[in-house]
Amino acid sequence: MSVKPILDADERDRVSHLQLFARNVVDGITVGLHRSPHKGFSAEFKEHRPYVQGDETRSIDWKLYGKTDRLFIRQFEEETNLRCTMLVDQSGSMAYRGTDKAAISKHEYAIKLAASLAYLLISQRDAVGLGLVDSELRSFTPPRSNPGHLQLLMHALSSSSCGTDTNLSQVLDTVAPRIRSRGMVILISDCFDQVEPLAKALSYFRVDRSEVVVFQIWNRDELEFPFRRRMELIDLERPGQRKIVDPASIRKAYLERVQKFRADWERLAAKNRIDLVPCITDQPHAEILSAYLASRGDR
Amino acid sequence: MFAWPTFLNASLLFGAAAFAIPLIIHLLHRTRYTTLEWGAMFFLDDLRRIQTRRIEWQSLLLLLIRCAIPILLALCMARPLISNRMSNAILGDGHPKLTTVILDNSLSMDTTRIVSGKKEMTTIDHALEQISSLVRNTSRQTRWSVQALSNPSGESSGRVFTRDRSVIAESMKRMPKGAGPGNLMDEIDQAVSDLESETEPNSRIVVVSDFQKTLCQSLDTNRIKAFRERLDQSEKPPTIIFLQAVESKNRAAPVNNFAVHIDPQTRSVAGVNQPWEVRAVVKNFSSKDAEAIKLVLVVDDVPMISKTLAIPAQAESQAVFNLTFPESGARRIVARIEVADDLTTDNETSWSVLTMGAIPVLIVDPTLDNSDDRASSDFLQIALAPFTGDANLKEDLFDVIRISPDKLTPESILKARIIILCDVPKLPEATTRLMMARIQEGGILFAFAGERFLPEWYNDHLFTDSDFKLNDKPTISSTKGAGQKLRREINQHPAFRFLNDSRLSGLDSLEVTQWYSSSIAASTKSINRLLSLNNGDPFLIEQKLGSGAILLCTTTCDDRWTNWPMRPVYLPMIQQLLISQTPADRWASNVETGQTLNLPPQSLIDWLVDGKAQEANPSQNKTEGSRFRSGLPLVDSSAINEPEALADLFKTGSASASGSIESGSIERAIVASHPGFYAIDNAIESPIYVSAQSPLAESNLTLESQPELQALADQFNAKLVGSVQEYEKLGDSIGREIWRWVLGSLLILLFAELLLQRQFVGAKT
Repeated sequence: MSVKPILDADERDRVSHLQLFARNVVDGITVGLHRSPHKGFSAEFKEHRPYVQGDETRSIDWKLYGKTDRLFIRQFEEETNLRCTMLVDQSGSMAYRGTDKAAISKHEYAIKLAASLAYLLISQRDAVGLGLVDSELRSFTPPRSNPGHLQLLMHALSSSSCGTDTNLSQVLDTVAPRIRSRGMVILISDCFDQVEPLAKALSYFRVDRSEVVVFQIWNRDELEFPFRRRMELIDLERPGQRKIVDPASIRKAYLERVQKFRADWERLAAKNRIDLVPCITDQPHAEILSAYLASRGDR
Repeated sequence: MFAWPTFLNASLLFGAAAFAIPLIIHLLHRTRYTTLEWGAMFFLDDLRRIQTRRIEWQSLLLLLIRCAIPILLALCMARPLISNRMSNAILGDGHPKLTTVILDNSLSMDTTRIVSGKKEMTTIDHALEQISSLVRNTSRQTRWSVQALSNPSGESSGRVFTRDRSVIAESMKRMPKGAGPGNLMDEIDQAVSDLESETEPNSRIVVVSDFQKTLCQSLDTNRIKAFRERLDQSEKPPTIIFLQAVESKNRAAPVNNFAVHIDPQTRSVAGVNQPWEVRAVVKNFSSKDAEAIKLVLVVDDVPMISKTLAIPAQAESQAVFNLTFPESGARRIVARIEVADDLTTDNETSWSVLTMGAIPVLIVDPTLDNSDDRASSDFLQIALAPFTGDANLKEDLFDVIRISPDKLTPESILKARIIILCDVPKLPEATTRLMMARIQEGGILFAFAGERFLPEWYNDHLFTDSDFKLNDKPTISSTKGAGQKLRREINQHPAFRFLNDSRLSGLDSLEVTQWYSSSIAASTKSINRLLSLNNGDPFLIEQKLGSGAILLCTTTCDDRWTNWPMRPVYLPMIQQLLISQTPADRWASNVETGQTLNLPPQSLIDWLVDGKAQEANPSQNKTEGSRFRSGLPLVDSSAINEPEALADLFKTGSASASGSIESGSIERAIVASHPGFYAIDNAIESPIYVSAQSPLAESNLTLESQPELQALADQFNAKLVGSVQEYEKLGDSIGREIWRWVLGSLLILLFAELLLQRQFVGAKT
């Protein structure tokens, strides 16, 4: 009797590739991290624990060592228990990859970005959970920090595929009860939804003192709308819906709308203290992450 | 009023069906777009409605342009013509670019008529005013040519079209008036050819005339039909317009006209001091009887004789004048009537007469030296010089010298113009050669048969043509006691036309008992049988030789073989026969207008020179100091009607007086377009004249009735207009080519299509 493996060969390849990609990205951005002012994601003291080999010497509570002559490590609140929940949008609109079929889609970009973040967080022993969303919550993996959990996340990410419609604000409402307070919520999405309700839904996490980061994924076509030839657009979110458009005649209005959309997001993000990180699919992930981490370090 | 455009190549309009090609392509490609799976539909939702409407009208606009392109191309190739009024409205200037006017300048156009109910003026002056008005009221871009219907060059020497109004005005000012009837059909044909050789596609032929009945009736229906066929096949047929120089309401108005004409049978040659008869015909074309019309005969500018005639309405009267001329030379005879009528140009007419001095005749008669007191040529001498020794001042036309063959000398031959051989058997070889050379130069040899006559010698030396052979032996009439009579037939020879008068009974009693019969080939052209006997044998034959002629009478010149010399008809027949052979009589010095003028032959010049030389040494027979003899008083002197209108034409190349043709200086045929005298300079001191008379019918001023004129216009497919105003209203019916505009629109559309295509469906950059 043969035993069916949990992952087939293709999935294993995809997972390992994703993990390798995430490791490369994270290694690239954490070189010399111990010299950097980066202190992790939380700084609230919680308890001491005995020193084990491999702990950073800077974490040793030298005062306690003076009193007890034993090495303890100062543990901070959330440092070990930072519960980060990544919500990756897998709606239809995320499948867009531009006119070049070989190019990376927004969804693939989001997956890789999520994998990199998961790797980074778990390597810091933070707990990372994953929610795949479109019009509803498709799967949810609660946050864990053990290294084996990374494999599970990678598998969940690599097996993710784009659905159809989006209704993020509603989905966030369903996700909210599953997320503990004082955690971190990372939304990786193009956020193609009504800005106000979505921002409002995100702001609820802030009430729970959670930190909210939104990686807003764009394809450059969506920002520039560079088309000339009259074309038929097939709606990725509503299959069967087609529109014949003349790009020249609508470009201006379209770009105005995009501009307004982005401005609204920036305004509401600032208002609700949401970290908004716009990403364009032709930008390297490392660049995005390092820039974001650097901006966090500055704060 | 809207008028549909017409097309020169209407069949190419089918090409417009190609508009279906872009339509089909449009329908086929309507659903074909580049498809793209798009995520950010979120931003496009509201834009869709505007976008769809915009695409629809853009697509429709492009489709319309693309469909219009093949339609315009087909239109362009079909060469559309739009009416002038429409083109005026659209393009600003729609008048035809080429107009030729054919102005009837015939005699009838000189008629004074009432114009516009008040003014009296000649029809041609009114016509010129009409043409001026047409030129003035037309676009300056129109090129004009104004041509007279009758012009002296015979055929139109190619029209010259110009936009320069002063040139047109000048050509109208110089328009020769009072011409003979012209050939309208020829002129229109020529006009079409001239217009075809020009570049403008849009042209008109405007015929301005009074449309006299005689002019309209002279047009051959078959030629009009052929002309219509020609127009139908023409690539750019001109529009033909008949513009009436006499208004419709005045066409039937009665006109008062008298015309004088000289009978064309009047001789053009007269002998010095010989009686010469001229017959003048005066016709009353008016509807009233004329009691006393004074007819005056003017000779060389001097009024000589006058007669008063009573002529009933629509009838004619004749007057015969007898004149003699004391000197040789050219005489200008003018017959003039003194009457106040509506057309004065035909109140006088002209005739040219050449007066010849006595013609030297040499009679060679072998019987002269006979002891017998009668010679064969006695009758002949009497017939040729009946007045010899007459004290009544009459002179003979012929200066006769008789000589026997053995006394014949080269001098005597060279001196004579006419040599008569009376029963001469034969002549020496040298004498014969000299005599034949003299005939070649215009001399006349007249031979009579008889007992001595040797047919072989005549066959071998005079009638060398194999078409004619005299029999060896004379024929004797088989009728006992009576001979053969002359065959009665209508004689066309000018010398014997008078024999056609049946009242001349003397001819019936003429008999020939003995004669030489002969054979004449039926196909011969060189031998002309002038008179025949009843049995068919020739009596008198004529053979042209160079400028001269050989005549042969197959019987005797005396009464041995015929009773001819005993008959009264003998004298006029002999005289007329010899006169008709003279170069002066053979040259047409009086023609009808429209006929070609001929220069006098060299032989005539020679005769005239010889005649002058002879006059310098007058023979004793001539009576000096003789004058015109007329019992009537002289009338007022008056100038001869010169064709002044043609003065300009003849000025070139001649230092002589205007209105003259220098012999040899005119290479092209000159047509006597105008009545009057045409002077011809020649080797003799004074000019000689050709006279042209208009036909009497031209003076009949009856105009074609309006319905008949309309029918004629319909035959030509012409538009009949009664006035300049009506002409100007024709604008609608005449088109203007607009293919250039269509081509321009086509190019604009092509360019617009290119731009819009880039704008609407441009390639992705």
